[in-house]
Amino acid sequence: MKRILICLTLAVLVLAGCAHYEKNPKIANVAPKAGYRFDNLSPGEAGDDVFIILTFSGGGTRAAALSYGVLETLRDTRYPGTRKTNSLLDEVDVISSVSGGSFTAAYYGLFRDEIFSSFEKKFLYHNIQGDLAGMVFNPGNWFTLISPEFSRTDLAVRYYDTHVFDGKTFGDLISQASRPMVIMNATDISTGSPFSFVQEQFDPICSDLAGVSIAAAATASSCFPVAFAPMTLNNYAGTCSYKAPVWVSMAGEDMLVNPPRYARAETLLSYTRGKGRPFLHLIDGGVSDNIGLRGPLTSIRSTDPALSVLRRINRGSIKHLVVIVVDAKSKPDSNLDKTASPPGIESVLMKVATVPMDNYSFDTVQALQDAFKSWQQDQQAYKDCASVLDEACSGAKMPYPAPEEIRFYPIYVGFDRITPPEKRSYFQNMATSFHLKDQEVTDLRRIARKLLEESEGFNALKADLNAKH
Amino acid sequence: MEFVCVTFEDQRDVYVDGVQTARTNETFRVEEGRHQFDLGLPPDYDPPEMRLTVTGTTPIKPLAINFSKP
Repeated sequence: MKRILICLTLAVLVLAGCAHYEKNPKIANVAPKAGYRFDNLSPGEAGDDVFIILTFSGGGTRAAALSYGVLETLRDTRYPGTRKTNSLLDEVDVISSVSGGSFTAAYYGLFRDEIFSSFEKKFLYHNIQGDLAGMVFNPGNWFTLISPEFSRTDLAVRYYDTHVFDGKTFGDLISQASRPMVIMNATDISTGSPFSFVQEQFDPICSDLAGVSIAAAATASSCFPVAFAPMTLNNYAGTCSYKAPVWVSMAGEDMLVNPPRYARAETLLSYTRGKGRPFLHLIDGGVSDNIGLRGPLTSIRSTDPALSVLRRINRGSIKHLVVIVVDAKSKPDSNLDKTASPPGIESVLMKVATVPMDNYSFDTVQALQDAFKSWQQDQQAYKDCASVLDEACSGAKMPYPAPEEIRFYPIYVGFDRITPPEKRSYFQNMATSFHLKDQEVTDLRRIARKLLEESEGFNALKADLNAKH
Repeated sequence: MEFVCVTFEDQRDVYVDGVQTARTNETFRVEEGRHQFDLGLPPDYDPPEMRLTVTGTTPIKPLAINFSKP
């Protein structure tokens, strides 16, 4: 009996010892022309004239379904042109996503129009939450969960890899060689900064994103703190002749002039200190930006990122810039203030974890609105000045040419815009879970369509492109 | 948002922080802060590069940067 017990114990330890998180592969040399980078993805026939960025928020299946409804609506919005389909969905250039929204984004990036025939059954209307719980409670998995280098998060990666993403990797996204670029965002727990699954983010850590599974990225993006353990990545910095871009050394002098730019440079440099950070730990992207808008906002306002929308505007290739923010933020009815006794520890922790996220999301949407407004004011100021000059001194020219002019279409698809309030409350009280009732999923798809079709920005875009539904 | 106009006697690409970003003699936008400007290859201009902090500009009065042929 004693022997059997010893044998069993040894077997458990061996099995546990074998279990290991999915290791991100090393890269020998950084290759700027290869890998999952925006410049390596062709815009196809769509070109850059109409540049569409979608951002999908976190919020479990609630977020996945809401963003799916937006994709359906874009697919059904046609406008005249010379191409075969002329659907607005074909014009989408970038999808930046967080947490639950990352599943819709990644699935569309991999399978394109096939999403409309398989994603509903495989994900939206499926009890993913139940399956994940089943894996954790399955005694067959307990041995592997004993390993210090394998957690519930890694079980989730295995599940999504097999049941949702069919074992696809970023190599499969690269081989498609066409837009949209899907940018799944997690949070680096040490720096608190967004960590995006694009090759530019993997260059400083000397790792090849092509060998990373889509499931790993989606899981990292949705690794809600406490419920899931942080996901680990190996940092091989210093082994691939990586050189930081020029803007990083320039931004090093911007601490007083432009602190956010300085901070971006510092964060990037922190990855190159491989000896001090041989591992990175990632949690839910919602912790640093729950609507996936921070990255696109920087790319609109700066020439620094590899994916710089501003650079394309400067070159005159973008004429219409569309940003559709899909925000599944909930606002559950609170009973906290109905009693004199203070909230319990669970309620307080939940509030501490989610309230800053929501406030930050609100600020980010406002920052986008402000950016667009400021651009429009600059364009108008130039025109007004030229007009005054012409009136005062007929034929006189402005000393400098006008910057490239573009049209902006900020579009917000979120529950705050639903009327009447009772209807809004129904959506805001939906659970944050990977299992919703079928009717709830259907309602989310419908409300996404309604909100998008009623939005001012979307109607202005349709009018400018002569698009029809 | 900041505005820059790089002047040169020929039509050339303008590189901001080492990346092709705009054209000479046109006004373009950059993020506020320190930037390196040059015209790429061939290096037939002077100075070879300029490092300047761009702040407080408007589209009406951008930061004017001039490169000339030596």
